[in-house]
Amino acid sequence: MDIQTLGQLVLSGLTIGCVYSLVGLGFALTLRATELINFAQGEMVMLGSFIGLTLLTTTGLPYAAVFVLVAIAVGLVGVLLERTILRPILDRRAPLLNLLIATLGLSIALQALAIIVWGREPVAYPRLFSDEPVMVLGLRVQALNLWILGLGLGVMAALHWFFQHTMTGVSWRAASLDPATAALFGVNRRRNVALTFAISAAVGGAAGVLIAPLFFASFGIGHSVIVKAFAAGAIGGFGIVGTMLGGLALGVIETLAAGIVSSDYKNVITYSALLVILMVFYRPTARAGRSITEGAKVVASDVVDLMSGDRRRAALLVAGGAALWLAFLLLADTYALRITNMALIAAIAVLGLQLVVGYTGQFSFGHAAFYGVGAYASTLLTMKLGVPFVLAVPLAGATAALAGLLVAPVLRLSGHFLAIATLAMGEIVQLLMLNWKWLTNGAYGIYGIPLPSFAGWELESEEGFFVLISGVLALVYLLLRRLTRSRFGRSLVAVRENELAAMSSGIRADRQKITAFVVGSACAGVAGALYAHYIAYISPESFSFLASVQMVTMVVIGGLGSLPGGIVGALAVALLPEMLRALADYRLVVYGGLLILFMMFLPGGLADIGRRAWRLAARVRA
Amino acid sequence: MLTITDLSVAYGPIEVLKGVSLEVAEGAIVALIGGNGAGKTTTLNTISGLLRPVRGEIRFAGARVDGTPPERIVAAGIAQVPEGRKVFRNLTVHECLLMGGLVRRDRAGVAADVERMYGLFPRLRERHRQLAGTLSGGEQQMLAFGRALVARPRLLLLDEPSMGLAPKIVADIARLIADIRRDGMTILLVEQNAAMALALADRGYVLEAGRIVLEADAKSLLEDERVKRAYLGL
Amino acid sequence: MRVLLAASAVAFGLGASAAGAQQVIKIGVVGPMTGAFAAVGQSEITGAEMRAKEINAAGGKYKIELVTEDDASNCDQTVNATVKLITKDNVVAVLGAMNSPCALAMVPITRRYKTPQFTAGVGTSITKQGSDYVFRIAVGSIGQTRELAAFAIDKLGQSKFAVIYSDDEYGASMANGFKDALAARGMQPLVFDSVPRADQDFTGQLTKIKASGATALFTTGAFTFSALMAKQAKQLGMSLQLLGDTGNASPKYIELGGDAVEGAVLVEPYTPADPDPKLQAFTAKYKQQYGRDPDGWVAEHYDAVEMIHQAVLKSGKIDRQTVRDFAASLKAPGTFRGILGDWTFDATGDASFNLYKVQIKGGQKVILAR
Repeated sequence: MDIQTLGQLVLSGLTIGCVYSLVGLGFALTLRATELINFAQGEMVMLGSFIGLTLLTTTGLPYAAVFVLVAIAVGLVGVLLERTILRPILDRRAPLLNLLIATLGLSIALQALAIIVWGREPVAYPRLFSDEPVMVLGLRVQALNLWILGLGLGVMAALHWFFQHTMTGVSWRAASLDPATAALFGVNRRRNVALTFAISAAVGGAAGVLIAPLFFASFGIGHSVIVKAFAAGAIGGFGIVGTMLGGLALGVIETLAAGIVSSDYKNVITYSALLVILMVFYRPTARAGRSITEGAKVVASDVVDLMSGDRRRAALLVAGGAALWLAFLLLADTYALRITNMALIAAIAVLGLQLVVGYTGQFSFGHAAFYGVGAYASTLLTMKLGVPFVLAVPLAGATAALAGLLVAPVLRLSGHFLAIATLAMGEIVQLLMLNWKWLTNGAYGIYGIPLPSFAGWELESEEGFFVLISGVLALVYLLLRRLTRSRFGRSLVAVRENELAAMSSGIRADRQKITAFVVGSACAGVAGALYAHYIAYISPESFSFLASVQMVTMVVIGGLGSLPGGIVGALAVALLPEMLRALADYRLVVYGGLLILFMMFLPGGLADIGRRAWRLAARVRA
Repeated sequence: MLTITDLSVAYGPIEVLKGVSLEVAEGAIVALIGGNGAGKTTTLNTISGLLRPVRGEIRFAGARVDGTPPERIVAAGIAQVPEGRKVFRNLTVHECLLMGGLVRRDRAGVAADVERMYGLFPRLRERHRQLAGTLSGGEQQMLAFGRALVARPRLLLLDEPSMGLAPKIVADIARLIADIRRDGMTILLVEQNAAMALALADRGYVLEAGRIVLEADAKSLLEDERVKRAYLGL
Repeated sequence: MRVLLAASAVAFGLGASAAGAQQVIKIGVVGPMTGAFAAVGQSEITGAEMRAKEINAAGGKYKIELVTEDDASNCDQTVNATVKLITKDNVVAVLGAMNSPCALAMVPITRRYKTPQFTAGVGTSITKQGSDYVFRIAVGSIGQTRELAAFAIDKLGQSKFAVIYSDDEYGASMANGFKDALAARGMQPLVFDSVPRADQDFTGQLTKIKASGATALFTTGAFTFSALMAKQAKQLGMSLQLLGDTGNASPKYIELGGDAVEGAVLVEPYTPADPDPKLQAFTAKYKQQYGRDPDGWVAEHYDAVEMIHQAVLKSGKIDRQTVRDFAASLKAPGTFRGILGDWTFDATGDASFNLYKVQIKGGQKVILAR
């Protein structure tokens, strides 16, 4: 490889690395000041690219000026969002998980708004600089690249100076480590958080103006960057200088890898490296620290529990439920059955996730991976090995459980690090599904998956599937209910609330966490198997991070720690987009908005509402 | 200078301070002694504005300060050397000292005071570029003192300055406290090490389970039978 | 049971209105109205809409009613939407989906409910599922790549090829098709790499291509993908013969690629550059209604709606099986002629019609051959 080519690669790597550094800084700052991973950070990048585009095309301002203006504008947006949405949730000491979901909702809503304002299609930036290459150190480089690098490095230098040489910056660093003592000397925590979001948003927006000329301005531009940006932070220990260097390093390594090795496995390597770094450097030294569900109105008992004191009411409720189920089966039209079936399949997976997240307090953002493993397992078992459906489904669950066991070491991480680790794990699994073509047929997917057959009789009707899926759901529910009510279940709750205390009372926390995780994965696997045979075509695309996110959302909306809540949450979240069809483009804004509102005002989820309603009814009756 | 009347502070439903009253005269050193969990740190943190009382009032130089935010308390002239030093481990020694002057408007004055601290604590000057977390326990205590002094307080709150330090260092700290007092500082000294505290102080209060159970001049307390048994190990 | 009830309800309803009033042909359209491929969905719906409006304006025995559902390129939603269109809206045929995997997911459903499906998805396996109800109204990946490769070798004189594709079903279909087409001519691509769909920086891959000495680059995936790659190749100072399939047919490709895509050669089923007066009129009319040039997808769906219309006209029945049989009967040229020329479907439901080979010159498409 000649010097020109190598230089080109390194320069490109540095350029994209700059973007990772800036966005990563946003993550790092927010994380250190508030313990929150702001999933909407990617949208700050998107906003930056679009606002920059508008400014460039309507005013005649030069690129550097637009760059500065955009940073300021997006910074203000960040402050606005913090003040109106995030602060109320932060103030209420809501569980970390709720905050995460709120930022996810924000991310969805912002993307949808961008589509409404700027259109659905990617837009190219106008030509900013001449295409004639410039000679630098004997290398031919593009003027655009130099500008991007220059501005990016300039921002980083300015930020470094800010944090080292201004009292505001120094006090920020003090407060990020020890907010209480910093308060003793005058650091107002509220103002500090607002400042943090302002800077994070501003650097995100700045990054957007930098990448958009290279790529295109589009509403998805943030997503392609955020995991890498977070990795940059992780590499750099989330320190300010560390993240800057981490991002640059990541960009260069990635580009070199794609140029020299192959691009197929490029991302697998990146994500695996991230996992390794997290596992080696970010394992918690203390087992204390805030549980993700601390402060949550975790439903310790569900409605069924409340009824256990009254046999007659319990029997009435069960009978009523059965009657409803039967009525639905007989009266609902095909379409209603179809969408309900899909929602119920999701519910099975969500019950498993409820065990992991709600009961054991473990962040898991890769649940869809096990769903996918189950789907592929059952597909391959029935199609390649001729295993009958009734056996294939439980075997698929077992395969997913095995996969869960393999991944389980990751559980030694905690909080947001576990979140990112499970995210990376999910991405790796999806990439393997794409690349192990010999097993999964790669991107083509597998079609023609046979319908469930019982001794020769094939199940084809929606009604039939409704019965089958409800049956499996009921079985899984009862099993999990038994599990959570046992001593095992109670030990999980103890681990969730205070791992250290649990361990000192003799609970083998590690073992409990892994068991819960494996059981949860098994549920996802069973659900995936049903999914495969229902839809008859699977491809890696269905098992993405977004799918995992949706499952977490179902758990939270339903109510952390409530099994019936998990089912209700799954139904609500799955059916909502269908019901909002009429809103077209605004559908996603509403969806994101609902998530945020829920997190702000109904952190206990639907289960909490259910409990309160039940109590109210009981009191009224009395 | 500082008057606390009937102060009650609670963490949620748990009342930690139950009607505490004490007074610190200008220029005096007042000791607040008590065992673990008595509520000493809570008292100081409430004075500093980190906590809001449920009942009672705190007056400093005549003005009411309970419930005001911490940055205004510092600006009013009350600085704390917190329990466990709590220097900002990720900042340099120099930056820690600068943090003391965060709320002051006169940057030049802050710089001059930082210089004075280096004069007072030459070892800090040697290490001024080092990260605070790399200092020894005794050096960190100096740093914490220096930081508080840069705030140019009129009242200094000391939370267990002797904790976890070797006896020789404790002696140095005691000397330091006496020196600061001689320069005119008013000090409220919270300690488990009753002997040291009462040796330095003019007056003393004994705090037990959120209540003041004894108050007298320091000399009398040193000779009190109960104090001797409970806090002086005699 | 349910289907029978539904079918008889439809028949009854139609029978009642046969006397004089216009009868309604309901056609379902499912595709990405939102999401990353919304532009493609736009082509689908506007093409169908234009023909529907023309038919309705002309009066006549039948009226077209389009029922549109958004799938946001999410295949689970595609299936839900298809079930809704078929069982709730009782459409006589379904157009869609645009994304190949989603079209694939629809196949068992349209087959189960015996509803003809007309899809522009190019993934090879769409028509290989043994369903009698799937008709591909586009040239599939095999057909496209065969023609493109042949043209590149014979008419452009290229022999050193590089292939970069996005790692999804569409990209893989095209890339493998191209590879096979080259193999049939005794050639092999010098570079054959896939890229994660979300990736946007291709410096690494492009450097590899430079090192390999390839002179022609076939990129396949969303047109954004191809346009980005063209731009970055230009920035690296590379000058390659760019080749593209119908995925790059959208005018957005030129808009996004700017002068980086000058000289690119594409295959498309329809191009506004054709001087044929009938086609020019079509282009002008579309442009007037929708503010941009029509692309191949527009023409394909325009013709599909007319095809369904013809099926009903010829048989006098608004009936799924009839529409299906009509499409299947198009074996030889002459029975149905649309904007794209004579339509024929082979035994598996694959259409074949001639593809234009166009080159982008001065931001416009110039026809090189057909």
